[in-house]
Parts: sequence; C-alpha cells; structure tokens
Amino acid sequence: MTSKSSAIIVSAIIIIIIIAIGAGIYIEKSHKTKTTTSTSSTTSSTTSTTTSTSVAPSMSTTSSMSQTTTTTQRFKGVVKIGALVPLNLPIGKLTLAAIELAVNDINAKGGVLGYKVQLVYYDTRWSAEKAVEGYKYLVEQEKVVAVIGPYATHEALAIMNLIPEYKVVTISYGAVGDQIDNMTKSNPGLKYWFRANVNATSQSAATWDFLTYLCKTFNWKKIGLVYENLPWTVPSLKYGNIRSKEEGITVNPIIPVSPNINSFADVYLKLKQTGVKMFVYVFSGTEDFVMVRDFQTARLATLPVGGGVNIMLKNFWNQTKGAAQGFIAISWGFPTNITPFTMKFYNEYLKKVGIEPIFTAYYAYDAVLIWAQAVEKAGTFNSDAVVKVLENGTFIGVAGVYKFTKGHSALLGPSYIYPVFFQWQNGKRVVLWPLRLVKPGTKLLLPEVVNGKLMWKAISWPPKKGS
Amino acid sequence: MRRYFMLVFTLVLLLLGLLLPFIIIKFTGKTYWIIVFTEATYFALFTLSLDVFSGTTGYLNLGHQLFIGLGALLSGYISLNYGFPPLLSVTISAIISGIAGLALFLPSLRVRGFYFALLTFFTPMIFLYLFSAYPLNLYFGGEGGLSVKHYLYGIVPQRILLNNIYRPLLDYYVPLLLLILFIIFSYKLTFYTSFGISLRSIGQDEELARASGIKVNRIKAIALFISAFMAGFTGALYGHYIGVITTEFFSPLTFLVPILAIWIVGGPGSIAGSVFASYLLIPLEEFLRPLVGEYRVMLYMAILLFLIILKPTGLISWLILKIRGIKSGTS
Amino acid sequence: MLPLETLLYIIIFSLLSGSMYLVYSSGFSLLFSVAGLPNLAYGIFYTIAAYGVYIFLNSLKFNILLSAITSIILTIIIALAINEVAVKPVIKSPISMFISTLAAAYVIEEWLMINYGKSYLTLPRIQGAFYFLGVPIEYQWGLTVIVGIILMVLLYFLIYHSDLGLKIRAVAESWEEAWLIGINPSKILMTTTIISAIYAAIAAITLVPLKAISPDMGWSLLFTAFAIIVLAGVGEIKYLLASTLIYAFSEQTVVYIANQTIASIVPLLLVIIVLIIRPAGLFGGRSK
Repeated sequence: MTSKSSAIIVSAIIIIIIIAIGAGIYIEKSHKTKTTTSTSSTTSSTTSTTTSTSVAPSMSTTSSMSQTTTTTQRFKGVVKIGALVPLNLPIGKLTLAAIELAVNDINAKGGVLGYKVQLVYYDTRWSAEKAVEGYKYLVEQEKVVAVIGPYATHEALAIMNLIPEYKVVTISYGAVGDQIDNMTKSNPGLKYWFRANVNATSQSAATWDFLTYLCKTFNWKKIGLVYENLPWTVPSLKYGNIRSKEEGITVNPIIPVSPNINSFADVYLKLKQTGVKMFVYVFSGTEDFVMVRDFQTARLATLPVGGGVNIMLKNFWNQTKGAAQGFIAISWGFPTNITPFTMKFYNEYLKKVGIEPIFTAYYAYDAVLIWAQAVEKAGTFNSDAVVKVLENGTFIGVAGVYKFTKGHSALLGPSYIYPVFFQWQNGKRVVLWPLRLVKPGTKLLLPEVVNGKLMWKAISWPPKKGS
Repeated sequence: MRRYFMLVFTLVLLLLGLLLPFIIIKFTGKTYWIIVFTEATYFALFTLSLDVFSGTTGYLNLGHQLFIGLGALLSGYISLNYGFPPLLSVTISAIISGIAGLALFLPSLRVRGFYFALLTFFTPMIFLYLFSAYPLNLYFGGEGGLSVKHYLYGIVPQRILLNNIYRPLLDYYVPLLLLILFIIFSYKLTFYTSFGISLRSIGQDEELARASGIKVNRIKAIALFISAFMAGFTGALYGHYIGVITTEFFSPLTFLVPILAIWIVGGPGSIAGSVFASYLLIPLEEFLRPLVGEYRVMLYMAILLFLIILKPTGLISWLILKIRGIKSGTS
Repeated sequence: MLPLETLLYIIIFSLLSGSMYLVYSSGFSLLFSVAGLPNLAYGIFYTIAAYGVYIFLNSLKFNILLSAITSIILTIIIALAINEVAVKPVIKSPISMFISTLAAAYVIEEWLMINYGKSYLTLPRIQGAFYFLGVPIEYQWGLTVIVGIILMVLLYFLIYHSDLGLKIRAVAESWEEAWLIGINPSKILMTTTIISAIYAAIAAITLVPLKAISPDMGWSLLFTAFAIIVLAGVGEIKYLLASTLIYAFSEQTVVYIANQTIASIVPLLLVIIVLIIRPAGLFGGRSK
C-alpha cells in the first residue's frame, strides 16, 4: 500500500514537472509569435522617433477600440496607463479622483505625444497579493505603458520582483518604506520604479525639523508623543528615537492609542501628569475627531502638533464645531502657492470631487503629470528612455518640485517636496512652516489654562531672533 | 461506488488543473489568469486544511487564519533572521503552527461545539493586536511587513525565479501538486483508515464514540494538529509566494471570510466541494472586475449570498451528490 | 500606588465606556440569543442608522428629531429585508448564517463606501461638558449613560416580564419546541429583528456624534459587543449589565495603568479565559 502510494506521488511529481516545462515552452512560443512585431522595437532602447511610431500602432490595435470616432480623429491613437488604488479605503477613492483629473487635464491639452491617455484602474484592497495580481493585470491584460501606484509599502514590496521583468515605468504616490530606496539603489533592474513622495525617513525628518524649531524657540526640553499603534508608524518612531537624542529633546510620555479609541481622557491625564509643553500626534483613522473633542475639556496647556487624515482637511473645523482651535497639523500639499500650479489643481479638484485633495491626491496627480512630461521630453513611450529623463530631470508638480534621489524617491527640501505645517485659528488654516510660505502678520496660538479654562495666547510668528 | 467516483473526479481535476495554463494561454494569451488560479489553489488548500478538522468532527474552527498567519509570519521571521532556506523555515513554522493547534486543542477538552467556535474566533484577534502593535511589529517588518524570498529560493536557479513565464507556472504547479497530494491524503485518511472512521464518528455523536471505546481526545488532537500543520505550511508557502508577509494575515478579512465562504458554498465535509468552490469563487471576483468596476465587491457579495441561500448546507456538495445519484441510477 | 486622580478617572470612565458598550450590545444580545448564532448584519444596522440620520439631516434638510425617526424606520426596513434574505433561509445551519449575514452586510457597506466613502462624516452632538470631581464628562456621553440604562431596563422587562419575552425565550430555547406550543418562530424572529434594529439605531444616534461615521465602523463595535455577550453567557440578557461593567472596568484599568494597546488585549484574554473555565459565560446556566 505504501509503495503504491509513493509510486503515485513520485509519478505525479514527474508528470507535473513535464507538463510545467511543456507549458513554459508553449507560453514562450505563443508570446514570441504574438509579439514578433513589437519585440524588435521594445528591445532597442534608442530614443529615435521610429521606435515610438512602431510601438504605437500595435498599442492602439491591442487596446479596445471602443473609443468614439471623434477622439480618434483628434488623437493619433490611444495609450493606456494603469493605476493601483485601494478602493476599500477613503484615501484610495480620493486618489483615484486625482488620477482621473490628471488624465483629463492631459487629454484636454492634446494628450501625450499626440496620443489620448486612457486610464485603467485596479482595486488592490490594500493587500499585497491583490497588488501583484493587479500589476500583472494592468501590464499583461491591459498593456499599459505606465503604472501609477501602488499606495502602501507592503503592496510596493510585493510587486518589486515583477518590475525588472515588465520594464514598465511605475510611479507610486504613497509607499514610504525606506527599504525600497536601498533596493532601487542596489538593483539596476528596479530603475523603472519611482515614487512621487518622499520616503519615511524624510517624512519624519521634515516633521522633526519643525518640532526642533519649536523646541529651540520656546526652550522646551521635553515633549509627549501620542501615536497610533499600527505597523505604519514604526519608521517615524524609529527616526524620532534617534533624532530626539541628537537634538537633546526627551520624548516622554510615549502613549500608544488604538484606532477605535473612544476617549482621550487617559492620554490627556498622562500628559498633564508629566507636564509637557507640547505633544506630537500621529493618526490615520478617526482618532483626531476624538482628540479635538476631548482637548476642549482637558484643561491642558500643551500644544498639539502632528498629523492625522481628517484634521488637515478644510471641513474639519465645521465638523468639530471649532474644537480644532489651536491644533497644529502637517499637510503634504496645501492650498497655498507651493508652486504656481497648486491652487489651480486644488480648485479643480475641489470642484470635481467636492472634498479637498489629501496628500496622496497631490502626489498621484503629480505622478501622472511627471510621467507625461517625461514622455514628452523623451519623445517616446519607451520605458528606458522615460526613466532616463525622470532620473535626470526636475519637474514642477502641484505638491512641490520633483527631483528624484538615487533611490528614486522624491527629494525632500524646502524648495523641493516639503510639508506645510499649519495651525487652526478661528476656522482658518494659518501656515506656520516652512517659513518661506508664512504670510506677514501671522500669529501663533499657545495654549494656557487660566482659572480652569483653556485660553489661547497669540504671539507673533515667526518669532524674532534673540527674543 | 464512492471510491470509483472520487477516483475519476480526482483524475479529472488533476487533468484540468494541469492543463489550465494551456487553456488560459490558448484563450486569453495572458499569464495573468494563472495567478488568479494560483490563488484559488491556495484557498482550496486552506479550505481543505480547515475541513480536515471542522468538516469531520463538527467542531467549528473560526480561527483558522491563526495557523495560516503564524505559519507565514514565523517562517518569514526565521528565514530572514536565521538565514534558513525558505523551504526549511516553512516546515519549521508549519510544525509550530501544528503545536499551536494542539495548544488550542487543550481547551477544547472542556469546551464543546458552539463555545469552541467562539473561543477560536477570539483567539486570533489577540495575535492580530499583539503582532501589529509596537514593539512586536518591529520584529515583523513594521509597515512594509516582512519581505521574504521565494520558497524555492536556493533550490531552483534564480534565472527561472525571475523569469516572467516560468515563475508563475512554478507558482501554479507547486501548490497544485500539494493540493492533489492533500486530496489523496485526506480521502485516504477520512474514508479508508480506522482513524478517519473514528474522526467521523466523533462528528456524528461524540459521547457515543467515547462510549464505544474510541480515544476521542487523542483523535481530536491529531486531527487538529494535521489541520493546523497544513494551514501553517500552506500559509507559509503562500507568504513566500507573495513575497511580503504582513500582520494582516491574522485579520479575519484576509483569510477567514473567504475560506469560510468557500467552505460553505462547497459544503462542509466535502473535499471535492471545497476544491470546486474555491475554483469558482476566487476567479469569479476577478472575472467581475472589468465588468462592473467599483461595484465589483458589492456584486460579488450579493452572488455569494445568493449561492449560500440557494443551498445553505453546501451548494456544490449537493450538486455532486445529485450528479452521483444520476450516475448510480443509470449504471 | 495609583494617584487618586487616576483612580477616579478609572472608575468614571469604566462607567462611561461601560454604558457606551451597553447601548450597542443590548440590541445585539437580543438578536444573538434568539437566533443562536450572531446575525453579523447587526453592525450594519448601526451604520445604516448613522448614515440615515446624516442623509436626512443634510440632503433632505429634515430637523434632527424627524431625521432620527425616519432613520430608525429606514433601519427597521433594511433589517427586515436582511432578515428575509440572509437569515431566514439559513436559520437551520448557523455557520451559513455567519457568512450570509456577513455578505449581506458587505453589500450595504460597499454601497455606502461607493457613495459616501470619500471622507468621514459627523453628526451634530450636544456641545459642552461638565466636570464631576474634576473629571470632564461630555454631555453627549452623559446622555449615553441614561440611554443605556433605559434601554437595558426596557430590554429586561421585555424579556423577563412580558408575553413576548416568554415567547422569545421559548424560541431561543428550542426552535421546534416553540412550534409545538403554538409559537411561530419566524414571527418572533421578525419581532426581535425589529426591536434590535431600533436598538441599533438608537445606539447610533447616541454614540456616533461622539466620533465620526465611516462605512466600516460597525465591525469593531460588533466585535466588542460579541465579546461582552460571550462574557455574560449567550442568552443571559439578565447579566449583560454586569458583564459590560466587568469588561469596561478591566479595559479602563489597563488603559490608565499601561496603555490602550494592552487594554485592547486584556478584555479579550478575559473572555478567552472565561470561555475555557466557564464555557457558558460568567453567569451562564444560572438563570435556568
């Protein structure tokens, strides 16, 4: 009996191996016969115009010709780009709207190299395996020439080993993991990967620049930290741990909260008991609603500085009935003149979606525009040529000016991509940082508890040196 | 009759499964669909590993993702930190998962039926909270999760693993082989051994089984160990196949809900049903994608609901019984 | 030794969050004890009610009372529809109900996600707070305590001192035996669905203003309610209050001594330990 079953197992393995090899040969053959016309053009990485014209007809024939005849008259053809978005999260929906807006804007200006851009999106559900499936779907099924996304770091890591094979320009708008930089640096095959956002370390560095500035200005030595205890906050904790030691700032207490928090009473009590002058918050869910709700009654003279997905949006003030007063929040991309295009994008987006763009919306919009600019500059859709332009060029987007680092992340810097810190003051978001965007006559509100009541003391900002 | 039918069924499945890539390439010309069926194969394996214990003994395990997650996360951790080849770390973590299954078994000595289901439902939640919170999330990769090597790393040349045609094929055939072996193993175990008979008699009436001299506890423990081991092994393999293992593996939405859906549509206790349901439901979701856009998940859930209320005890096992009934009637 | 202030906070917030849990677990416990296995769509009742109020208030410009009432009616209608589609056909196989109600809930959640999922929404709440021995308490949250007590008392009288309650308990005991003594179980199921939908809607109207609305907010609440009910013992509605307080107290103590991460694990551990030691729940088997 056992010898019989082992014989079955062994023969099954052998049969499978034979079939697998057969399948491989079969697929390779069918691939070769199908792409004989286009392989010659894609393998030659020259940027000559003949390449683009020979690639283009095959693209327009493979893409479904359901387009109306009017578009084909105006455009030379249709070229597809893909987007990987997690549509089970609000952030995914808001980002997709920005990508759609960017594609519309490009088409309104005559497309890219005369081709109409068509968007195909794939819902990744914030999962690595769906991101892999989606990437395959977009590249193989839809034959896209560029992919915008994915959003999360683990999604990005999952598609990494597909990139060298597919050779399709991939521009993420939200993956922040530092490890991706190192991978891109060390593996030349990953040169097709870019991200239109800064990496996690740069994100934290920008935050800490402002925190240090505040601490130095007011001579605070100790700050508190309230963070959402989920894997995504790990890089900022790690960075904060190192940076705070360098700057001589003690971070205590460190209070983790859970995303479905109901009350901040415990957090504020702990902060009160340690008597810190400032606390930093890092959230991605509904915590910020609870945070501002309970701050009103906590009688706490501690300045809140940090980031949350709701607190940076315009209607947060009305939603919380003004409880957001005095809160300082980070915003990557902000309705102010970061670049000449920012306000135009902001208004268009607000009109179309009805909600302000959030950080990934700025980045995703830029990702599409950067790709289009690079294609125009390269004069071809060929990935290698586009990558070369992306690596060396400087691009003006709506979130700032893009220059890509060796690890193909957006470069952090006051004149490149840089966050805005603002304070909620009587329904308005007053920019405090970076200093070049601060309007004259700006005030900073500092919390004070007078006779058991929370008051806000206004001081002029930026503070004069020496005072 | 059953023996004959199931043999034919297994052979048909074997043939269909083996030739699927050819069919896919013939009709679509894209390897993308192979990935979808790879996922279906993995979910068939997950469901079968659940079925080995829950389908036979009637103890409902609502925490099966615990074993999958443990297998994957531990394997990722071991292979990254101790430099073990992935296949070895997969085996080690599968054994640990099996032991975790045994640990979960201990309370089931006391806790019967319904309460066992509740217990298994709450246990993985603790792991989810623990593993995704600081400081434990530091060891399991933080926001990016653990990026791990392919499970055949070191065995198969790197050239093939990076190839865009051979890698999907390899990824498809390895779990398929595992599935076929596991189907044979489960059939043998549950229908042709005294162990399987005892196992099913526990499912019918535990007290009666105990009274008739069956060592109920030992049988349950072994079954749960096999179930957890298989889940851990497959989970670890799946993690290495995806390349990124996150703490989301413990979340009920990632594995538990799809597995239970497949299990119920397939019919609890029906091995063939689970496999067919998996090959039906997983590609269905992908099939809907280009058709309905953002309403995909909504429609998918509606279809799932429909399939369940059509035959609450298992649509596919019912269909199989129907077909078999006709067959036995004619022959 | 803990500072006195912390101790005070622990006690007060145990009561406050306890009442919060009570408000949404009471309706669920009713549904749970009758059907035998959880109707997982209860979480979506809560969500529907919240979105209902939001839509009636903002799109149709109803006043707050009218939108609350219409929202309750809307919730009842959808709850009944779910009951017909996803509960009744599978009532004989509880595990199928687990997935069918989940699927039904997802259909609605996805629809809400597509139409209203772009940002978090808020409902108006009673502004302001009062201080009790220096501990700030939101008026809205204070209201929750009153609502929780009222809901609990009503539920208690409904189950243990009314004709309907007797029938409900009979159906919960055994579906077939209820038939034999002339009770129509599916009618009882419908009635309990209506009552629990009202409870869910009231819970949403009282609790949601404290936070924000999102399509998936029902799940975490459902999970907590589930844990509390299991802690009390399934079907032991009498002891729900005690179980809620134990749950909330164990949670809040850990919140103040350690932090919220550990605090989300400790009550769960408690539930698991209770399940192992006393599978029928802390108070299980006493009412028989």
